[in-house]
Amino acid sequence: MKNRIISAALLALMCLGTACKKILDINDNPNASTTVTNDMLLAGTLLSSARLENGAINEIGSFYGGYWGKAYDASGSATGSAATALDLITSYNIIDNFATDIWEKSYTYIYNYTLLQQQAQGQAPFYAGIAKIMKGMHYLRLVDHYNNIPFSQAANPLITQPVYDNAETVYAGALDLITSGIADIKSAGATTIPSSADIFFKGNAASWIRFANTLKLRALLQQSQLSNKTSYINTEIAKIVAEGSSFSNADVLANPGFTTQSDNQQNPFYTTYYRTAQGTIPAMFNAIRPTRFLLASYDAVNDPRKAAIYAEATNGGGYRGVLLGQNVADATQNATATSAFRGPNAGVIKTATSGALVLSLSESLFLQAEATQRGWLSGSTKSLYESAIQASFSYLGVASAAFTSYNAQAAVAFDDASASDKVSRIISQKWLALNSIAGASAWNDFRRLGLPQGMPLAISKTSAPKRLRYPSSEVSTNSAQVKAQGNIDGLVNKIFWNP
Amino acid sequence: MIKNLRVIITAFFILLAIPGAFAQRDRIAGKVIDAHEHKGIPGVTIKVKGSNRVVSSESDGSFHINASKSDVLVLSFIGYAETEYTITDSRKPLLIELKESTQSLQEVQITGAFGIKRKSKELGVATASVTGNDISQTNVVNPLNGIQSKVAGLQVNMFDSGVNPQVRVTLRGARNINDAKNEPLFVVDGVPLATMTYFNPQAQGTKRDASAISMLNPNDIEEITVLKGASAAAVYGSQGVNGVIIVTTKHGKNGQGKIDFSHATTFDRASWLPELQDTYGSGFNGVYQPYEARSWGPKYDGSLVKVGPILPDGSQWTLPYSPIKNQKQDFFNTGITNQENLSFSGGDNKSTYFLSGQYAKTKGIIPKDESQKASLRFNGSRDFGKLKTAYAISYVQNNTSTTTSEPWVNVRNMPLFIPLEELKDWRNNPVAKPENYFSTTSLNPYWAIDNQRQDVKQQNLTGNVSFDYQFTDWFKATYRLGLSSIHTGFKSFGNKFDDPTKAYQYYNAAGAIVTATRSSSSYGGSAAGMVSDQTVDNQQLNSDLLLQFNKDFGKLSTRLLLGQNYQDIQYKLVQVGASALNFPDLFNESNLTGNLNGGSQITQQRRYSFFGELTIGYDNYLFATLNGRRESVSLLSAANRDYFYPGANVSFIFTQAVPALKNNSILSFGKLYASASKSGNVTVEPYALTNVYTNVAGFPFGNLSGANINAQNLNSNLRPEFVYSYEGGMQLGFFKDRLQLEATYAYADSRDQILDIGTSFASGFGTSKTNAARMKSKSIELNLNGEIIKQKEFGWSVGANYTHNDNTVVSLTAGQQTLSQWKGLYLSVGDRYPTYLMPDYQRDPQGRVIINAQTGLPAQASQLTNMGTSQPVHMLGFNTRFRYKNLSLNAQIDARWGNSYYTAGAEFETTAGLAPVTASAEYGRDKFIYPNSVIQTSPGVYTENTSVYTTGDFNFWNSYKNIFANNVFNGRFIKLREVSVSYSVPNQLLGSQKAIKGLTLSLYGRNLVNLRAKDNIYGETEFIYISGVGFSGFRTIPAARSYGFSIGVTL
Repeated sequence: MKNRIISAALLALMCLGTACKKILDINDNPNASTTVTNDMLLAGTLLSSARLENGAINEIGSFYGGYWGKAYDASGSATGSAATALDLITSYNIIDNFATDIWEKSYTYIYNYTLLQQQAQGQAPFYAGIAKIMKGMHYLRLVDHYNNIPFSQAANPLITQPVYDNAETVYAGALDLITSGIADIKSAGATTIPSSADIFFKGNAASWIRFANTLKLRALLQQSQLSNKTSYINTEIAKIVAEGSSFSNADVLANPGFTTQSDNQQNPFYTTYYRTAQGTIPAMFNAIRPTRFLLASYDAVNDPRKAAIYAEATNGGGYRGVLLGQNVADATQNATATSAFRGPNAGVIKTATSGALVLSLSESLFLQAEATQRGWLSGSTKSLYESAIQASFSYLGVASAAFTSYNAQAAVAFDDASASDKVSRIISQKWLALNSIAGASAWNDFRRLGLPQGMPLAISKTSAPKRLRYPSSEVSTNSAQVKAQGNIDGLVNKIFWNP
Repeated sequence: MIKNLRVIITAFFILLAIPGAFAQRDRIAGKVIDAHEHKGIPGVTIKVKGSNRVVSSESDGSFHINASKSDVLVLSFIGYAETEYTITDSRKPLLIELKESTQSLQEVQITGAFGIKRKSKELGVATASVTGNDISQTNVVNPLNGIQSKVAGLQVNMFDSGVNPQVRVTLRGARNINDAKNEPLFVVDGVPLATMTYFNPQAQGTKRDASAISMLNPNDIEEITVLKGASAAAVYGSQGVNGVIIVTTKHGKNGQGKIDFSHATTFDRASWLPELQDTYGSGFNGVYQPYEARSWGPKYDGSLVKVGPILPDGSQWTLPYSPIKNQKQDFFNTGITNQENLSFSGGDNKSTYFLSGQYAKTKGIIPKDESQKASLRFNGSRDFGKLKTAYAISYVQNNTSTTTSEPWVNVRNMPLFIPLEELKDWRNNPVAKPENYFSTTSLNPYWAIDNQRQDVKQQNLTGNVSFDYQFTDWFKATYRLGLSSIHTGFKSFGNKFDDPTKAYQYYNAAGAIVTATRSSSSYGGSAAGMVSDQTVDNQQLNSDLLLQFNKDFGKLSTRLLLGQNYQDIQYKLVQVGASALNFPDLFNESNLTGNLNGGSQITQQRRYSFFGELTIGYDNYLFATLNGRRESVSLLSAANRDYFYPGANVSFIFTQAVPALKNNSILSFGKLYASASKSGNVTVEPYALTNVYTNVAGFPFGNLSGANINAQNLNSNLRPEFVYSYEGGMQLGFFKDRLQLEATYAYADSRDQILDIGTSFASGFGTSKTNAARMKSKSIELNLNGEIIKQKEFGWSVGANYTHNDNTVVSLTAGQQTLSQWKGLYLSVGDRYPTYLMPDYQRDPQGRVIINAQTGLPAQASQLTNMGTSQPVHMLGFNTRFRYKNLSLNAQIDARWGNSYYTAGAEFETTAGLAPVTASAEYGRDKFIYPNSVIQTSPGVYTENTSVYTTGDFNFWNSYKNIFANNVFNGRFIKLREVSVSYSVPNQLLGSQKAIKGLTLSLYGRNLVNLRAKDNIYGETEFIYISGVGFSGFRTIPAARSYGFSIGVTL
């Protein structure tokens, strides 16, 4: 200490020209790295993407897709977007400061994938390919929520106020990105292949390509109601068929090696909706309740999945749900009077260390079923439809034996005479299968096809949510571009694919 | 730079080469006496003018000095006017009379940069000083509280009235858009003090804090000088851009040794608690609930109700349903602070010493909160002829133990019929046990006080040495080295309690057992317990070399200062913690389950600079100063890190210059002054130039690492910020300076401010660090002091200071109009800094609330409403002092106005169902016609609403509180800040005993009266929160009223 002081004093006194310049060269960060490996960037961003899919994106969709309501006596905020009170969401009060994570985090992750793409391009095309596929996925999600968005000028820190591109252009561009990502992965050859850092598929190229094809199919089906898109869709479907790897044939799960050591090392869905690492009950477990419409829909087909996913109400009465947007005192909708998620190892609540679901096998099969039904793909719609239901039973822990009697019901059987509208039958079952695990797909289908039929709106509302408003951070930093989009009303303005 | 140094060195040798002239000298004896009492005065400094020969008078006033006939002796001593005496006969003993000083503005000196005393009249900038006695007159523990409202332009705010609160000081408002960067520089005996960067649990975040100055013993302070403007940066460097507060500590004096002892006891009482409704009790939408902590239930009716869960013995707590008066006040303890001060001082004509110690112990108004401070300071000097040395060392230890559970929030929100008294014994009383606590959403506050705590041990070691070498009578070199080091250890813990997941069951009205949902928030986030240990080391090394040249050429006086400064600031934080414990009551990381968390952060910065200041005076009435500084900092890139800034100021004593004004009986002194300066500043933290990658939450999973780029875009091209400041003023003295008036106008234009501007997330980053903002500030300061009555036995003086601050945001980055700072506080282009922009209801052009004709509900306006600034625009301090014989009375009144005050407390009280408005006659809980509301009948046409009712249920009030405009009030106040009465026991009463030389007794009070705007029923408006003043958090503890007594003995 004494020596240090003396030497510093001498240094100070003797400080001459070059010596002085050198003593100021101490501004290299000793606390964090200014470089990153491809593996670190890949693993980190893939987990972030999976968390967003399991969090804010699934949540808004689960409310607006008809699955979830809020226990009347619970308050609280939506996951990961602290400013959004559940009351605002459930009463369709769509304001700027609303589920902002979907915008802000998607773009943050897109930028990280862009960095990975730039860093890996050339020497590690497998990584670049994954980056492109994931960017494509995020852009598609962004359009599904916000319609026109920055794309051509996005993810460039030098452009702090990027222009907005037309939603259709972005959708097509995102598909091209995914196509290009598939090509990169195929071209990887002897270059570095990720192993444990690829927390989706451990470097399995075929799995990545099947996942990418499924994302593309989902985006094309989303445009099914646009008559002017027929030839575009045919071209794109032909590309998928020509590629030849087909679609996801297993649940796509993200698992970096979840542990029960801390909240942020657990499966994110489990932590948010069931139990923290300390075993305490998170606010969302007490807040999220099935809608009465959902329970009635399960009951209408004697669905064994209801009892797999939900517990009976604490204070008796069996399986009970809530109405969306309820804001008048009603003790029958309190948390203890209604059904919470059943768990662990049941229904949608797996274990704290299970992989986080990114895309279910069931959804992949339902997408294929709809595509074959529309004549876009060849194959047996009926068998895809039935496999899709079986995959859902399997995922939710329902005994496979239950399928036969379930499928024999007139309201379920694909070939039943009552099923005059096959697409409607497929989507109705898809809706039951994706409860709480793919809310965004449910909301997308509802906006696209108006299915399931009879889904009630929030109390005292006459129009269902169509989209989100641009977040306040965007309004204050990129105001000219936001203004150019017109006065957005979440209950009026539609996404381009919405007929 | 090499060139600069060469100039200095060359100058140095030329000066050495000039031979001194020696004349014949005699050893002359003399005595200094008080002109009034004719008694010898010890400790007077006697200097032969134009030489370096200095001696001090002995205890009887006598002295010996080598001088010759016609030499001029300069005698100076505090409290006496500086006197010159020309020797007419070197063989006869001299008898020199000193007159008590009359605070003549001609002569008043201030301690300026580097401890150099300068006549105030030479300065072209506004300064002010406060004596140590004024600071400690109410025995504050933190000296910053003692300078509150005593200096125009100076603003002091504290976090709240908890123990050892964070204190914030600003001078002339803000110059920086980042609120944390507006603190002045504190300099103690010439050494700048380290500011602390640490995790501040009160502010819920990392804060820079003038902590080291807070730890100084107020009784050690001789005087504080305040250099208000940015021009102070010329001599003190960037860190002085917000002004400099120079503290001079007490030193020993030549003469007899002296021992001072004092004791003070201060009592604090929580005062001005928020008003709460006492009509409605626990429950929800009018229905009683045994587990509900919110008061949305039925009216209190005195009947017996069941409260809380079924207890282990099968019973349930039963209480009368009626409010208990005053128990929120009774929750608070009477805080007690005991201070013991002891000092020894003395010296001879070669050396001085001063040793002081203080022990202060504070028991806070929150139960169990306490703080202890022990400090020791030793300084001294030794005179070796041409070489003078001085040294100082001080050590302070401050131990604070506080609860982190914020019990006041819990207690304030609790329904009024729950008896707090019954909750105290949580170990034995079944209803008080944490697992049986009545509420499903909160913890027993008494359990939390005992089981969720933070202990902080802060140690501050400061030392400095200085060498002063008088080469010739006109050239002196000084070298000073100072080290200030603060070591802080934090330990936070939360206990776990049995079975937090146990179902909450109660008997309902029908007698059936039902279950209620327990919210996880009821466990305060630490149901499983937690422990965290953190150490923070701050160290600042400061080295100054200073060359001073003083030379008079006839009527022209010159003074040149050349200097070099080097600074090295280091910071290191190490934290380790466990977020879940195995066993209760053992707060060590070894007791963990799950992952150990932790990390470290290290920063270092250096700067060096060369500076010069040249003052030229003409005939004692015109002074001009030019200064410049070239600074180099490690914080910026090599291309941007060197910068130069100049300044100039002029002072003109027109009462000296104009013969007709000399010796005027009314206007005794008049000075005009002006200054212009440019000051550089670099406010970024180290390593703000290059982006880094940080771990994604949860990583690493085993060996698998995952990282993302950090969320904020850093910038390798950051440049220094510059503040251009201009100041003009005058100082007038009337009636032999018994009435003094000073008026100053200052303007500062702060450009290229570095801030984190928002960028579209679509660009990849949500924020980006840029030189972007510009802000201007205008201040008017007025100071008036008068000695109205000045007689031997009776005196009365009054003083007033007024400050007007107008800070405006001129521009942010291109195209950006507003930037959110913190919940409603914005930087808004063209508006005052900072401005409240808040959600409000839709209103018609007359400002009446528009009610939806169908639902009866008001709707939120689509645009935010400007609710004014949070900074007081006007501040007024008034003080008066009466003296009658040995009795004196001081009072200080303080007022601030022109600001708005937001309180999250109002929000919380509304949610809790306790805000008076929720039970008022106009609004209330039944449906009501919204006061002064309208209905839109056709676009743009509004008619008064007389028929559409608004529901007064929880949903309405819950949305009402989210309309922040409903929680903004007028922030003005007038406060009786300080009153003290002290009595010095007369010498004749002490009698002929030799032991006690002086005895003083005093009584004092602080914050005795607090008058606030009528609509503000919520709390103190001068407290600070995360982002500055005028924003009260939900956790802010009510203000306290203090009173106490002290006794001082001199041996």
